[in-house]
Amino acid sequence: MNSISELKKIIHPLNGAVSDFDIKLFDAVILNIWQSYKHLPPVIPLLKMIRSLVLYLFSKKNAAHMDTVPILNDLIHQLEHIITVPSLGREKMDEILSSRLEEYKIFQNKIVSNPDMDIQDMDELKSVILAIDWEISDKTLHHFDTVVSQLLNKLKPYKIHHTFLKMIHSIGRFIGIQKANAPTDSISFLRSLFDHLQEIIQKKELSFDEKKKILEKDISRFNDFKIRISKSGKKSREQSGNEHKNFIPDNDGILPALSHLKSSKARINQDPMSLTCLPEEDSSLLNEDIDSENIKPALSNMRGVSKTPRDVMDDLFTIKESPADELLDAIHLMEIQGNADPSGSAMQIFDKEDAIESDGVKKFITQKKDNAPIAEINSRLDEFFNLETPADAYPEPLGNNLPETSADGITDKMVDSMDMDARIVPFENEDETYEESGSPQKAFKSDTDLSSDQTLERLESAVKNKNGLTDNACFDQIYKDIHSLETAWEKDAQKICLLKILAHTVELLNDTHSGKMISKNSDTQMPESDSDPDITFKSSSGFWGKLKSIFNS
Amino acid sequence: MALINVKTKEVQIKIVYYGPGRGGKTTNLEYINKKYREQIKTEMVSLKTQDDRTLFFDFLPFDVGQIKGFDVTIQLYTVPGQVKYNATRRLVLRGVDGIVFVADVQQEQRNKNIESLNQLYENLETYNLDLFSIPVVMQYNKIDLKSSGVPIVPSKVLQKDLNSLLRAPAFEASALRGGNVTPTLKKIISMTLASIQDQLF
Repeated sequence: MNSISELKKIIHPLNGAVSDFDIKLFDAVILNIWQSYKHLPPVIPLLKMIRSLVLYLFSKKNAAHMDTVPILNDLIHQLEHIITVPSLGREKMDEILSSRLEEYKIFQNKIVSNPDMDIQDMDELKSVILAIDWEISDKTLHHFDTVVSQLLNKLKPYKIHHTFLKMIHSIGRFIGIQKANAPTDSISFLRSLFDHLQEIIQKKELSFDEKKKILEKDISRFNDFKIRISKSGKKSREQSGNEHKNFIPDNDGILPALSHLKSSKARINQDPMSLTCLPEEDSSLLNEDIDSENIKPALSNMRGVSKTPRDVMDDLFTIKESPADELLDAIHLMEIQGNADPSGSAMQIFDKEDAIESDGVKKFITQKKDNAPIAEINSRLDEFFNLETPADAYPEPLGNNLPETSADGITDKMVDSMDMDARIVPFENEDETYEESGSPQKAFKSDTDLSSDQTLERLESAVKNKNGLTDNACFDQIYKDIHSLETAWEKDAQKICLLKILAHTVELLNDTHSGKMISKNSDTQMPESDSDPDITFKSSSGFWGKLKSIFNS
Repeated sequence: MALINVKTKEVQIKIVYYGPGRGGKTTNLEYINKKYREQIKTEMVSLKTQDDRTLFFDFLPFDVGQIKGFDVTIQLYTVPGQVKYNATRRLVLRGVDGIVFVADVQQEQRNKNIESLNQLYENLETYNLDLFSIPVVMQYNKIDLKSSGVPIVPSKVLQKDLNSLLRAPAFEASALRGGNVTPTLKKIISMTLASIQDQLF
């Protein structure tokens, strides 16, 4: 049996029972033909093409492209023709070879460039990559992992696409593990990989070789990246000799911050720890509506006002005047150079500045000390921040008797011993001030239905609350609400009329209530001045006193 | 590092608001900028993305007036909280004098608070600064979410997570509503000034 017949026999199972195919035997036959006919120039390329197609058929089995077998049979037929007809001239042989090479390339493009990847798949992949770019969180990383794994399965037959996805997967997982410690260019690299994958999928005119070139470039970038991170990884592992071994995680398995530090370092700081709480019952905290009216981001409604944050992107290239500009320059420089090392050239901007120390300028590295600030500091700050309360009104660090903390672990007992809820700062002290300076009576002057409705609701609940009507503060609030509604509804005569009736009624109730209050108090309080008729009236007690007051009024 | 000009009698200190992303650092500065706009004569620099996230940093400088004859200038900075911007955070920390660590009290942010504080320690180390040695104030922000039914980490647990070793003064706060924003700021300024007062006054 000649070599070609043997080859045909070996290849035959690929038309059906692929499991019977013997790849070693196939390679041996190919080698044999190559050695026997290597003097014929077209034989080697033809053998290479045959081998590639056979391996493709063997790997894809039934999933192989339908044109594979006819092309393979044609190649074998041409090979047989060249071998068995020695009279064929060189030109004829070259003609056969070039036509088959062309056919082969067309077929190669067919099987490589048509993955079953729809727009939805690409959009999904893009969204998970952008999600990581937006925020690196467990959720986004999990989603990323799921989507890429699915696509990896789907695109397994397409080597170029599959390789791109594998690189994307690796970089994504690396970012997930390293999080903030990942090199600054990790995400941009991930995005560029996606862009190139998108390019080879969308640009159908790209040939196989062009796609291969793109892939090869990215593979080399990927390898460079790997080398770079493995170097920096070694460095950081060497640096981080401190481990969590001495720390006991809590019930959730969470280790406290800084617990990885050496215990001696942690022990240095034994300052008392204080916690200033906000009162839970603070109405301004609980009332969502009031809040949403009161505080808006500083940037949202200050357009055109000189105090608005400026868009420094517009004047990046102007003369730098502030430390912010210099810092911005350093950041840009760092981004360009990819240098996050503080000793790197991004920091040279600062270093230059440091070098030019003018006379009289001293630099101090702040060191936390146990000393209390001198009185002038607190009084100056109180004055600046319009704090009426003296400095000491804010809770000072408590827990002087706090058990010593060590890196050996934090016990629940220790945590319980911290009186966390002590010394509450009343929230309304500053929030009311903020309301005044921010948007005075905004809720009422805005004349929106919402604010009127809110005021009306509050008024209704105040009137309904019988106990509330015994309180002077409640009356004040009712008056304020009525006044606000009058302002809001000033164009509606009927509403104004009803409000006036309500105001009179409340006034009457208030008078009665005041009379009661004063008569109650009069048993224990002496009038301050007998000459004041009101006081005389208020000081009268008992039934006769009240009767007299009716006649007087 | 604090700059003191003995000739012109000027002091300048740099306070950095540090913490995990979307924790309320910028909101702290916005509140201060808005509430004290009469006193703060300078402008706030803010570089945000379209979705209101800090791109590089926020910057709010202001003079608090004279203390013992020295004009005191405070520079407030925030860092970008997003994980990927660590290099920028590191740059912002250069020359820091005092730190406000703004933790997010939401349950789902518990780990991020810890990671962020650990990272702060590492970032300071690159400048040979020790977190345990410089003035730090902890702020447990978004405490108001409790009333909205959002699961939050109790302050006791936050103290254990973040402050058991550091033992810095801590404030529960609602930056959005201004709760304890000023006390936090006042505390860090006074601590920072106190740390250099021996050289100054």
